[in-house]
Amino acid sequence: MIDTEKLKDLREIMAEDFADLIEVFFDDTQARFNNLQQLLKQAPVDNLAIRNEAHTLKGSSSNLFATELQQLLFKLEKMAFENHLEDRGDLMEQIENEITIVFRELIDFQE
Amino acid sequence: MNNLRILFADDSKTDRHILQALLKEEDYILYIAEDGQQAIELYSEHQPDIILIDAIMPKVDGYDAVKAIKKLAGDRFVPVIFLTSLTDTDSLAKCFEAGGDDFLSKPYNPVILKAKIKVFVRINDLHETIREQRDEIEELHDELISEQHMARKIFDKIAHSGCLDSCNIAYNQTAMSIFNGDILFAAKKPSGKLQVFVGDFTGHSLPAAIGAMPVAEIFYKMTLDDSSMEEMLEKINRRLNNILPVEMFCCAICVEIDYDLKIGRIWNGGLPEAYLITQNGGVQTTFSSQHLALGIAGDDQFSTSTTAFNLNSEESLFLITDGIIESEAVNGEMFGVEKLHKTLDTNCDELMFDKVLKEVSEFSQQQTDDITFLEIYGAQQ
Repeated sequence: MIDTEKLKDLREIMAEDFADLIEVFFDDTQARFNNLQQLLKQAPVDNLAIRNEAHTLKGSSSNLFATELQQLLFKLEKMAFENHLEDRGDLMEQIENEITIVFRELIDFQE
Repeated sequence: MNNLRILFADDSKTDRHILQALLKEEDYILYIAEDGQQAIELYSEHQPDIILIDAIMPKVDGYDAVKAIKKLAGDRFVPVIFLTSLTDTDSLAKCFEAGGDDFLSKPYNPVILKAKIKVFVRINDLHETIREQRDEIEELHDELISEQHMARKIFDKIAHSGCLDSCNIAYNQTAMSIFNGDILFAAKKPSGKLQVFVGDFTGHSLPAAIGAMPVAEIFYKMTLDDSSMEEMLEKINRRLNNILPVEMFCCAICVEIDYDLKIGRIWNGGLPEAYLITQNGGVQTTFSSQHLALGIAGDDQFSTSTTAFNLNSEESLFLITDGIIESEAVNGEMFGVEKLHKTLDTNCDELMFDKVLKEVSEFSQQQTDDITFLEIYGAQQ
């Protein structure tokens, strides 16, 4: 879910750059999510790399007011930081679903 | 004013995009890094004015990058604002420990972002001003020291030590003590009489040294002319009265000794008592100040009357400025007149000069080379 009220302010400030921003966010998020999936398949798992990737994705989600996505990524970041990734359950599926929701909302928002 | 140059480092392409857009309207020059390593490289290449940096980044993280940048900056102030998701206080503490000056949390608020940048520009300007002024002060200080050395060289040419090093005299005075305001001259008259002048200028440093120059000139010229001590004192007084500002004057003792007749005459204007002692201890007579210091009175008020004394070969004359009396122990206590009197009055089997020097050093537990005193012996040592 996206806080569209706040996103409107950002769109106003960024004006013609806003469309670019959404494009960048799509590409960046997709690439980083794919990378996260790859990293989680590795053994032994690279906690630091996962933590950094989750952190970065969390930051940009936050900047686009994707609050739920931000919180899910924070959970992942924390697990990686505390070396408890084995407890993640279906967190990655939740993240993937939320990304799909956010992408759709952003497309709707632009129209 | 030049455009503000901002270095900003974030590994998220989205966040870089947003920040760039937020800062676009202002006339900032942006240097953009994608990780800590690039941030360090861009800093050393461009020395930007302010740094916005993400804490967690690949390769070199924000903390290490900031530590490296602050080190590169030396005493230049480079404000660092950490860009961070405000999720835990530990990482915030780490930001400040690494040298961060402030932080900005995501999502970015454009108003706060710009306000923070402006605040740091102000602090930056202030810091720059202080740095420039510090450098200026340093430069002026060096200049002053080198001028004093030059002045010292000129002063030495005029106020050479005369016959201070002759074996009738033991004295303690440093090369730089002229800048404490103390002067010490001795010369033989053509008639063979020894003439000694001890002076203590009010004021220090260059003004005292400048005031001392005419005294030296008159002293050596008139001693060589065989002029009388009275004539010389009158002339010095007149000259100082003319050239010195009201608050500046010269306390002085002038002594003339006739070694053939074993007699002497002394004039004391404003200096502490002079002592006539037996060389192995024992104060015979003291000569306290009877006159105004030099440079105060006009001709009509100035008195050159002297006190005569006998000086046999076992005796000596001990002259001081207030340096000895005022030399302080660690607890702030002063050496004082009584202690000096007692020392001079007590029997000793070494040279009195050495004994006084030792006592004052022990008392003040510091170097005594800024203290002027001398002993004139009744016979050659």
